[in-house]
Amino acid sequence: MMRYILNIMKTACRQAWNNRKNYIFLSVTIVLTFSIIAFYMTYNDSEIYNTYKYTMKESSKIAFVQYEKNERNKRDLLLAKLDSLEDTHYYLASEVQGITLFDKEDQRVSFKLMAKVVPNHVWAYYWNSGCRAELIDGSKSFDLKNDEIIICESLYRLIKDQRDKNGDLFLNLSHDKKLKVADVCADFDAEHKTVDENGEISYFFYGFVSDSCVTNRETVNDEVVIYSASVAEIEAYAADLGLRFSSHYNEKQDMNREITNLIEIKKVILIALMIILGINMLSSFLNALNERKYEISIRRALGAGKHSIVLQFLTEGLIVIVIDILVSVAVVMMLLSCIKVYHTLVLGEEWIIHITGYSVTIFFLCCTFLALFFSILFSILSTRVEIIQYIKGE
Amino acid sequence: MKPIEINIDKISKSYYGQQVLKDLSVHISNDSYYAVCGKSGAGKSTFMNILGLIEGFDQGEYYFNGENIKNHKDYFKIRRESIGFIYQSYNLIPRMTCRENIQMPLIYANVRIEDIKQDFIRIVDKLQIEPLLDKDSSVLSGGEKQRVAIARALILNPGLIIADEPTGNLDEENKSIVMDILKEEHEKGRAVVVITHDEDVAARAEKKYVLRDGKLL
Ligand SMILES: Nc1ncnc2c1ncn2[C@@H]1O[C@H](COP(=O)(O)OP(=O)(O)OP(=O)(O)O)[C@@H](O)[C@H]1O
Ligand SMILES: [Mg+2]
Repeated sequence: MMRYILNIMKTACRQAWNNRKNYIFLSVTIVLTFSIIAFYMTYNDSEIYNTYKYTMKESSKIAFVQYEKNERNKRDLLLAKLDSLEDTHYYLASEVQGITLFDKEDQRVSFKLMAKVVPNHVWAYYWNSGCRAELIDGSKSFDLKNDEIIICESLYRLIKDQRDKNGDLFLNLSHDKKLKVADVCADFDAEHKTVDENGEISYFFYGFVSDSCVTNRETVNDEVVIYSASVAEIEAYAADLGLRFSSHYNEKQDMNREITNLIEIKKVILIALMIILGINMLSSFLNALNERKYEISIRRALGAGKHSIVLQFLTEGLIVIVIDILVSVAVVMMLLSCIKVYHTLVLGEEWIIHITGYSVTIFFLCCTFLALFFSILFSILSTRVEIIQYIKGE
Repeated sequence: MKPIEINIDKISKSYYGQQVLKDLSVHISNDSYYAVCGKSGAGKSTFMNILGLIEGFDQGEYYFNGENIKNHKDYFKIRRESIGFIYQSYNLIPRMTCRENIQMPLIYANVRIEDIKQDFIRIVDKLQIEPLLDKDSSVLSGGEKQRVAIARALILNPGLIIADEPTGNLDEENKSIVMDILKEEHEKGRAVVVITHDEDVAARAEKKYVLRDGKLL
């Protein structure tokens, strides 16, 4: 029995190869079908991802409440409220504006640092992979010594060659203070360059320093950085106090709604695609079968049972479809790479190829369904051939 | 090889109102070697297709080794095990080598090529098709295809050999090879039915029928 099945499958492989010319025609349709489906799914994924990539990375548990110097009492009320909430951490931060790092001689160009001043020990770590440096995760923490600084990537690139003989990198803050670069964080996505009315150009960089190293400086943008499971509640309380509140919570809710909508639309379009392309594939399969009717009748006339014809054509169909699926995946990866290159080189923006597990699963379900459906149909139709109609008695 | 016992009783067949076979009766067993002659269009191939169980009939009774043959059933097992059919138009599968064509019935009968190696070599030698074995069957000449088709019909040692114009495309030398083979197979105890226009071939048979007016006379 085993040998019988293996022999028929071997025949199927040989015949798939012998009839490659016919199958290449069929494959064009199948590859087109699967490529369109796969491309639609993955392009859609990547578009959603690239539209929302910043929002996605931001934690909906992070909130910022800003206060003026004269609003300290309101701030203390807020802190008391935060202390009473479960699963809530916070710290006070502020910003130092435009510490001049160095000027270019003869040109009116200066390089300035906007430093976020944080406590020495912070419960969150700075996010290092996206475009914004934010403190995002309440479950992790980092320590920043008094003479240390975390700088952004673009500043790092500018000064990275100035390491001392120990391999340490130092940053001079306006000639009076020297800070050791402890780490590098991602760039802030705001415009780095400003030009004032005198034509002086300033480049701003971003960084983190601990509060003890800038005590003598005037700070601006005082804020409470909060990590909490009850962001909505804090928002309401801050509004009552009249403090400026910001978080990614609402943004994130909107995004989730939008993505759910897009997935619904995707399902409908996918079903429509499958029907249209399925009909197309059906006619191609019938064509491929017509080419083989003579062979089928000969085999039947020589004593092949219907089951062996089914097995042969099932195997042939599956071989062809599986190869075509692989080709389609390659085609789509190439297409996506081209789009990526177009976005980076022509539009000058970052475009990340992003494929969700959802799409992969749906694609392979589609493939499996179409592959099984058509190879089974193909093989069943193959037995419908009337021997005498195709065999040439004359 | 299984013994053969065929009883065909008053079989009729018509195509779209055109009566081709009418009350045709014949008995075939292992010691039969029949030649069937007749005008073109007389229905010889139709008769052979019915006999070879690849076409149905309208009326009459057909018993193959005691089994009552019905139209709607597929007798692929009988075709495979008991009938070697040599078609008028060879019916080799294109884009397959001659070797694959000849050995194809083995797959369905689940017989290993090693087990019939002797037979295979004997048949190939006899038909002088050794040099053709690895060629694509569609590039052969008519006579070459004819001999390959004969090899395929004989490979499984069928009890009944049906040959539709087996010598139609052959030169004198090949014709006698084929006639010898048919004769030899018959002497081994196979029933042979051969359609022919050729007097030499007909003369070798034990009985000569003429198909006329839908009957074997
Ligand atoms: N499938 C078919 N549909 C309609 N008519 C058919 C069909 N098959 C055969 N016929 C007709 O039946 C008649 C007998 O055909 P058949 O092929 O049996 O003749 P034959 O005796 O083998 O002739 P030849 O010596 O030329 O091979 C012919 O008139 C043919 O046109
Ligand atoms: Mg004929």
